[in-house]
Amino acid sequence: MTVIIIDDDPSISRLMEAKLNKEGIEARAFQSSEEGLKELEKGGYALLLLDLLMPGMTGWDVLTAIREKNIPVKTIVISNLSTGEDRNKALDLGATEYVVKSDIDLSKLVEKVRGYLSN
Amino acid sequence: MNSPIFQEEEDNFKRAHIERSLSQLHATKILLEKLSSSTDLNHILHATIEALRASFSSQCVSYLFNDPGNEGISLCYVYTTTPLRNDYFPTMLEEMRTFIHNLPQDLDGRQAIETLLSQRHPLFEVVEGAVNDETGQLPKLSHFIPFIFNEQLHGIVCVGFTSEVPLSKEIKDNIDTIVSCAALNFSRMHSLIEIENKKSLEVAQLEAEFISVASHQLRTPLTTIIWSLEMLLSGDVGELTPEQKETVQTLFDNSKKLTTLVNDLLNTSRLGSGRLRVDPKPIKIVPFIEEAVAQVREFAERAQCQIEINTPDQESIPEIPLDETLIAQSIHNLLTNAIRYSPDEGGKIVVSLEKQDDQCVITVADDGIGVPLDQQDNLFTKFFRADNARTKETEGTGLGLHLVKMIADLAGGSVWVDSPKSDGKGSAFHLSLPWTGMQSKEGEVDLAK
Repeated sequence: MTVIIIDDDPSISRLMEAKLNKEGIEARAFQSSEEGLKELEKGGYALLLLDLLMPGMTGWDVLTAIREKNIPVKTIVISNLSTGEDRNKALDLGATEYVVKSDIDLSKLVEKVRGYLSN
Repeated sequence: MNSPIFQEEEDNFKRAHIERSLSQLHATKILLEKLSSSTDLNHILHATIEALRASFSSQCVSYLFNDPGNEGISLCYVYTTTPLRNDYFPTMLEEMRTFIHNLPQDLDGRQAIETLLSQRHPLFEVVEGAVNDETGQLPKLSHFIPFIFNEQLHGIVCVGFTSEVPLSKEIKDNIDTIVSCAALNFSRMHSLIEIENKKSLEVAQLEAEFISVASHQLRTPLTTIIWSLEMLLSGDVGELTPEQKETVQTLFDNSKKLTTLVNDLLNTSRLGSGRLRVDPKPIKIVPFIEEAVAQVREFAERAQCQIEINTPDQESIPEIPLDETLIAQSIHNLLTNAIRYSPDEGGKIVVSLEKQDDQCVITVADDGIGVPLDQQDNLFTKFFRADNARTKETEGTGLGLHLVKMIADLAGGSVWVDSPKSDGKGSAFHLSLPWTGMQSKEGEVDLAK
C-alpha cells in the first residue's frame, strides 16, 4: 500500500480510492480516523490524504498524532474548509499541502499524488 | 396698592420672566421634537447643547459623556462658541474621564457632582486657569448637570459661562429641565436600542451559523457529484456513448457552476456582514498566480481559450501578506470571467503583474465582449450584470466582481477595468494590492468554510 485516505464521508473516500486504484496507484481508504491512524502506524505508506472535519479524532488531531509518533508520511490535507486560518493551522501541524476539496478535479488530485509518489 | 413706578418695574420683571419662560419652553419644545425620532446619542447630546445655547446665550457649552459599553467615560462631543486655549480641553477631558471612571456606579448624578465639588478636584484648577485667547476672559464651568438614565450616571453635561455673575436659581432650574428632559428621552431611546441590539445580535448569530452549516454541507455533496461525473466522463466506470458523454458533460459543467454559485453567495454574505476573519501570511505572488491559472486551465481549454502568464521573476518581487483564500477567490473570479466572456471561437487571455513603488497590479486581459462604457461605473456593484454579459452568459449571478471589489478594499487596494483595452479589443481588469497587504482581523465567520 502506498496511499492511505482518511475521510469520514464514505462516498468521497471511496471515490478517491477507486480513482487512484484505476490509475494504478495503490490506495486504501478509512472512514474512521482512529482506524486510519492505527493502519498508518504499521508503516509502509508514503502519502496520506486527510480530511479535517471528522467525528471523534479530527484531521488536526491526526496531524498532531503523526508528529508525536514520528510517523514518516507526507500529508495532503483535502477538506472543504478553505479559510486561510484552517490552511495555516494544518500546515503548521505538519501537513505538506492543503487542497480545497470542491475546488479540485479528481484528475488533478491524481496528478498531485503521482507527483508525490515519484519524488 | 403699588405706585405706578413699582407697577411698571413689576410688569417689566413679569414680562422678562414670561419671555424667559417662553424662550425656555420653546427651546425645550424644539429639543423634544429633535429627540423624539432620534436614537443616536451623539445627536441627542448635540441637540441638548444647542437647546442650552439657544436659551442662555452661554459662551461655552460642552458636554462629556460616559459610554456604558466602553468602560468609563468617553467624550462624544465638545462644543464651544468661543475658542479656548488649545491645550485646555484634552487635559480637562482626560481628568474628567478619570474622575468619573473612578466614581462608584451606584452614585446618583447629584451625589457625583457634590463629590466632585467637595474634593476640589484638580479639574477646577484646570478650568479656572483656562484662558480665552480672544477676550482674555476666564470661562468657568459653572454648571454641571448629571446625565442620568436607567438610574445611573452616564455623564455630566458641563455648561460654562464667561459671565462673572452667578447663575440665578431660575436659570439653573431651567438648565436642569432641559438636560433632564434629554436624559429622560434618551433613557427611553436607550431601552429601544437595547431591544434592537439584542434582536440584531440574535439574527447575526443565526445567520453565521446558517452560513457555516450551509456552506460546508452544500459543498460536500457537490464534490461527490462532480467527482462521480468526472469518473463517468473519463471512462473509469465503463465507456460512454458520445450522446451519453455529452449529457454527462452538461451535468458536470452545471455542477461546477453550482459550486461557484454557492461559493460566491456565501462569500458575499460573509464579506458583507463585516464579521469575516482575515488571516494573512506572506505569499509569493507569482507562483500563486500560476496556481490560480492552473486551476482554470481545463475550463479555458474547453472554451478554446489560451492563457498566457506574463510576470517578472518572483525573486524581484517582495512577498505580500495576504489571506490566501480571499486573494485566490479574487484572481479566480477575474480569470473565469475572462474565459466566460471570451469570443465563442476562443480567445487569448493574458495575466500579467506590474511592480509599482507602493503596490503590485495584477491584470487579466481578454479579447472578449468588453463592458459598455455607460455600464462600467456599476460593474462592481452587487448583482449587477452588463447587458451584453446577460446575453452571452445567462447563468451569471453578478456577484463575482463585487466580491473582487470587497476583497480588494479589504487589502487597501482597488479594482478597475479598461474596456476596450489599449488594442481596442476586450477588457483588462486590474487588481492592485499594496505591498503592506492585508491586516489580520478577528471575526466570527470564515470565508467559504
